[in-house]
This record gives sequence, C-alpha cells and structure tokens, in this order.
Amino acid sequence: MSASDPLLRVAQFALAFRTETGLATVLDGVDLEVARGEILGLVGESGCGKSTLVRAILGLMPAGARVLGGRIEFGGQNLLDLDEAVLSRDIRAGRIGFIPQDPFQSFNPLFRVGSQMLEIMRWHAPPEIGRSRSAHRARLLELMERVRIPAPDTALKRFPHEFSGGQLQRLMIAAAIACKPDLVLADEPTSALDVTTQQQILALLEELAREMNTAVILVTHDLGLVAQYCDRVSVMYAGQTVESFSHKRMLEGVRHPYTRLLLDCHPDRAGALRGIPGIVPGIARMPPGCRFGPRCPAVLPICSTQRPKAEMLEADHSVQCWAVSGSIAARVPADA
Amino acid sequence: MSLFIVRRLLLAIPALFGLVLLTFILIHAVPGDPAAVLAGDQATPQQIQALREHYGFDRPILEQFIRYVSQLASGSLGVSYMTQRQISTEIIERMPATFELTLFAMTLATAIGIPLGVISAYFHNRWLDHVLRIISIGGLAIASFWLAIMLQFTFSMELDLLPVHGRLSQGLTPPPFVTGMIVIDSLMAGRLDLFRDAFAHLILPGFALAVAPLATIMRFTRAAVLSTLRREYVFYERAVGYPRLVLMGKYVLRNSLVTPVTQIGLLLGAILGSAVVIEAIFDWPGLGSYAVLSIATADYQATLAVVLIVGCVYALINILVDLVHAAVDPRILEQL
Repeated sequence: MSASDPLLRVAQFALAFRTETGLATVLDGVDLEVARGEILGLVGESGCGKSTLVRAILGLMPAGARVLGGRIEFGGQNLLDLDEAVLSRDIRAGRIGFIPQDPFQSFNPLFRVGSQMLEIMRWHAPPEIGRSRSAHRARLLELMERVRIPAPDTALKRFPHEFSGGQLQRLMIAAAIACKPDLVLADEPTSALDVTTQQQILALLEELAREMNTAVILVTHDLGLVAQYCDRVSVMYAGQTVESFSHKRMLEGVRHPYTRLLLDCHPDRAGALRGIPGIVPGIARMPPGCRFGPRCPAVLPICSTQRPKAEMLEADHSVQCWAVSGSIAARVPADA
Repeated sequence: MSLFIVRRLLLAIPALFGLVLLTFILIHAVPGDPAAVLAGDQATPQQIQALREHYGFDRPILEQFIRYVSQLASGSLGVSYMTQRQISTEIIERMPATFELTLFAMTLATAIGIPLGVISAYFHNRWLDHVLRIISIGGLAIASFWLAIMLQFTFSMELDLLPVHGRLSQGLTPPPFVTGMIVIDSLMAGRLDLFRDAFAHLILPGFALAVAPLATIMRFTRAAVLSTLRREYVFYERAVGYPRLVLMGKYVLRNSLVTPVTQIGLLLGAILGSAVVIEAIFDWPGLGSYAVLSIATADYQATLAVVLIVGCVYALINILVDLVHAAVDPRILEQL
C-alpha cells in the first residue's frame, strides 16, 4: 500500500459508552489504514470492537457513545467532524458502501427488494449513472446480472422473504456497490450464511471489488477467510489494534501471541480445533497494561502495568506486544 | 382472499349467536316488565296480563328465545313495542348519524394520533416525548362525558363558536338522503352552506369522542415505532443513507402500522359504546340514543337489535383489519 495517501486512515481513535458505572472505553487507540482498491481484513473475536469500529466509520454510533479522541480520515476529511445529516447525504452509500451481517434481518420485509435498492440509488447515485429512475433501474439490472441473481427483472419485484440467504447477501453486495463507492464496509457478511455459500459470497465480493478498484474492509473472526481474500490484515483485541501485516506474512510471519492463537484456532492448520482460554474482557472491566495480558501465554511482568507501544517490525508489519519487542521488553518507555 | 372473507363471515355467525343469547339472558335477568311499561300507569292488572299474553311474555324464556331467533333467521329484527314500527326501519334512520359521528371521531383520532405517536417515538425520552406522553395520559384519564359538557360550556355557551347540540341548525332541511350522513350528502348535493353547518355540529361531539382513542392510538403507535427503530433493517437503512424523513415517514411508519391498525379496529367497536353517552349529551339522533331509549322503555327487541347491529359492525371491522394487515404486510397476504 502507499502509506503516503491512504483512502481511509483511522488514527488513535477512542470511543466510550456511557454505562451505569461511568464511561467504559470500547475502542482505545485504534489505528487502521486502507489504501484505494485494497482489501483489508479486520479480525478478532466477538466483542473486540470490530462492528463498533465499522459503525463509527459510518457515523452510526449507538446512543450514549462518546468519541474520546483520534481521527477517522476519509478522502482527506475527518469524518468525526461531519454531522449526521452530512454523513447521511454525502458519505453513506455514495462513498462508503455497507454490507450487513445478516441479510435476512437487514432488508425491510414489507418492501420489494427493487424499491429498497432504488431508494439508495435515488439519493446517492453519482452523476455518471444519471438521475433518472430508469437509469438507476438499468444499473441495478446490470449489477444483479453480475451478482448472478436469476431473472433480475422479476427479482426486483419480489419481497425479501422470497429469496434465500445467499441470494439476499448477493443483493446486498449489489446494493453496496450500486453507487460506485470508494470503500465498502462488510461487517461479517457471511456469518448468517452456511459454509458453502460463504465462499461464493466472498469470492464474488472480491471479484467485484478488484474489478471496480473498490477498497473493502472485511470484518470477520475467521483468519482462514482473510488468508484467501485480503491484501492486508489488522487484528483487533478488546478495542485495540494489536497487529497489522500484509498478506504474505500471514502464515509464518505473525508475531503477536493473540494472532498466533487465532491462527491455531483454525482446524485446517492445527489439525484439531483449539480455542483460546478465557474470554474477551467486558468493556467495564478492562485490565490495565496490555489488555490481552491475562490470557497471554507469553505474558511478562511489564504487561500488567504498561500498555505496549505500536512497533514497526517491517514496512508492512506493525505489532503492539512487549514480548515481541524482545530484548527491549525490559526497557521502560521514554514517556513513562 | 375471497375464500378468506367468506370463511371469516361464516365464523362470525356463531359469535353473533352467542352475543344474542347473552344479551337475551341479561335482559331477562334484570327486573322490568315490558308489558307493564307498555300498558302505562293507569292500566289494570287484566290489561297488563292481556298485553303479556299478546306478546308472549308469559311463555318460558327458552320458547321466547327460539321464537326470537327464528324471527331473526327469517330476516326481521322485529317490531318496536313502543312505536309499533319495524325496528330495522328505525335503525336505518338512525345508523347514519352514528356512523357519521364515529367515523369523524376515528378519522380525527387516527389523523392526529399516528403522527403524534411517530413524533413521540422519534424524540424518545426527550422533552417533546415527555410532554406528548403526559398529554396522552390526560386524554385517557379524562371522562368523555365530562369533557363533552365542558366543551359545550366553553365553545357553545361562553364563546358561542359552535352549536350546542343536534346535527343541523333549526330551520335547515337536510339534503336528499343518499348515505344518510349529512356531511357527505350535503357535498353530493352541492350545498356548501349545509355542509358548513353540519360540520360545525360534528366538531364538539366528534372531538369529545375522539380524545380517548386518539391517546390510545398515539401510545400504540409510539410503542410500535420504538420497536421498529430497534430493527436491524432500520440500522441498514440508515447505514445506506436513506434521508431521515423518508426513513421515518415511509419505511419505519409502514413497519409500525400493524399494531395501531388493530387498535383502530378495536377502538371503532369500543367507540360505538362511548357514542351512547356522547349522543345523549349532544342530542345526536343516532343508535346510541336509540339504545338508551329502548332500555328505558323495556323495548327489549329494539335493545337486542342494537346489540346485534353493533356486533355485526364489530365483526366486519375485524375482517377489515385483517385485510388491512394483508395490504401492509405481503407475508400476511400469502397466508390468506
């Protein structure tokens, strides 16, 4: 990737939720970069803040959420400075597309799929597609052909409950790219589908993204999927990005103990399915220092008191871990 | 669909039979001798006995009931003991007045209640929501007869803005009978002066009747919209940038209509009951005042006829509610 001009740059982004006991930090110093046309895998266990991050990029944070700091730069603009109306009008669908987790629940059951997709285009279609409804329809029909929906013409007139999950998710892909966005956020797009459909959906998404040079953030908890489709990977744990690396380091080069354990969780590699002992800490009870410390097999004394700093191992590999820092593990950071 | 309607109509028959049976028993359980009322204060016991035998009041209740039901089956509601006219004729004369009043009240309640409910939900737990909810609790708590009298007091007697009672001012002749609803008939006859006068007469009783259902519709709409807003598809619709007004006014509203529509159906039935009181206060020549009169004069065939008519209307409304549900939700349509 070209580090000089990323399409999306999330820098030291921190977000808290208001709870009964006060503010709970759910995202804490998240760093993320996506270049134009790049497919980034965002990986981590459930509850580590992946979906929250995706929602924050779209400006859809739940009530009671408060941005504590950082920036979300998109096309040179800090999205955190834009208000809801502007985000809705200028960013969503038109520049950042969205593919939801559960296509069954994400189509409005009372409206024909065609009219729902046309509603998106009506407000967000770029000038080159045209303003007219017939132009939008033509574009949709072409896309439905591309995502292999049989008989697109009649399919547009059908209701969501008349489609299978795989078909619905393919329609979601078509809807996400309909207005030619620069970036598509796919929030675990296959977790509601069966395994055979998963591969088809992701292959289709990759194919279309490459063809249109659209960047994708693919949120998943499955490192195996990431290995197949992504150019680069960011691993999140408990609201922090702990390791980022390019595809070629995927199999052997990963360093963070959490990433290594995640890789081992995949039955293809370990032979038998292994888990990671313990659970992601609740947002109200984050451990001090390294948040993975209590579950980490390579834990050091310093881990329980100080948060590791991001360290660039290579141009395409950064990691936040005291153990990886190796000989420098004992060194006290300059600002401590 | 037509099969569905036929089935529902057939199913209504046993329910109506039960209704007639129950009313019949209740009428005979309360004290009151129709023969004595008919004969008047001066009658001798022999005259009363003669009347009793003439109308069959001396027969066993079961026999009276069978005779009544077979009379119904032959299509007659019977003859009023008091006026000696066909009860069906009297009801047809009075029904339009009640329909005019209740339809006006329900239109008012729906047209105001649904938007207020949506607004209340949209401003969930903000000051506007609280204000609307307090007002709606007031609307539910207020006794409609008290409100009716207060309205008469304020707007008719004090401010002299609106007529105190009746359907038309003295000296005006109603338009030719088409629907029997003066507001509609006057428009059909092109008589705007009559329309204005009839409409002015409708406002106070209509409003007094509308307040309680308005509050109910508002509360049910608010609850339904709040639950719709939590749906996954509403999140998706926001994530793809549907403008706020389109989202609320078209998509969320339609998804929230099923419960309020059911309530409107039930309320239409219930409002026929409250109309009894309001009609009495505003001297409105409808079914309600007819029912009161028939009870006061122990004219039990007339009472039964009113109950039966209201029951039929109720049954029809319920079928209508199901059809409206089907129109709102394509999944229900498939099941009909």
